[in-house]
Amino acid sequence: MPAVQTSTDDVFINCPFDDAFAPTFRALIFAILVCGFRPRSARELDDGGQTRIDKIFALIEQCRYGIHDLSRTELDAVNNLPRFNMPLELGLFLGAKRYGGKHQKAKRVLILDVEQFRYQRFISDLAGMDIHEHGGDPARALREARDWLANVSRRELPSADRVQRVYEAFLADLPDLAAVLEFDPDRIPYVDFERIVGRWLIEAPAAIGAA
Amino acid sequence: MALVGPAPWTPLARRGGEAHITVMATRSDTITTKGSKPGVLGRSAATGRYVLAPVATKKATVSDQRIAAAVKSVLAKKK
Repeated sequence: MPAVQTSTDDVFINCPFDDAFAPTFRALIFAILVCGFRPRSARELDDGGQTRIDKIFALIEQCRYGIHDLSRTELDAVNNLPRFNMPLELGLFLGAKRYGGKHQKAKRVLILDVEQFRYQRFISDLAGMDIHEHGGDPARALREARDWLANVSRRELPSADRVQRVYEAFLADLPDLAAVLEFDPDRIPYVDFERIVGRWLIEAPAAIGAA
Repeated sequence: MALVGPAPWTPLARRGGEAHITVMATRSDTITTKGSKPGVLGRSAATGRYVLAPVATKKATVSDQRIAAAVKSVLAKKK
């Protein structure tokens, strides 16, 4: 069987989808697009056909890069249980990297959490891996994602300062964009949000990124 | 012979030693799978980077044309 190739432009985002995490999710989407990569998320999947886990297998298989956020390893207020989807998908990604063919072995992983060493209390088998802390701050997550992509892809990317300036300019325009498109600015669907970011990046003048 | 697409790969020996390159990747980041090669939306003036088109697996709720018009109108107001 031929080795399944991965797209070196595609970045799998494995993160919570709750409202509180939405600003960080958006920052990650923006960081990936502004750096010339393509975000991939379970949010892009439609509801028919394959089972959800099969779709996630396919997504993971296609992506060279994966950003995994473990922030929601905590008890939820309603069910008093943690969300295990993120650790599960991190495990799938690491498994593909460990047991897959040559293209899968080239996968690269960024693990984010609110605190750098919190994982030791709930997923200590990750010991030795470099967990990056964002403290729940979307801007820090944005910079972590940019710095990591620059490191693992070895591409020449805009500086973290520039990426942050451009993101802040985008955020300033987002309420107006949402109003024109008749969206609640806090609830823009994923597929629309990434297309809005992409178009905004194309149209925004060069001065927006200047210091 | 006119080629209309990538020819099936055959070992060099079976082709009588003829060097026959039909497709050459020029950048390491052009390798894709299952026809999912991302399209390029354009280049961002603010960063100098190309911006890739998203994967279209789930139907968007507004058209690309409407998004483009909204972005242009919002940016135009700031000039």
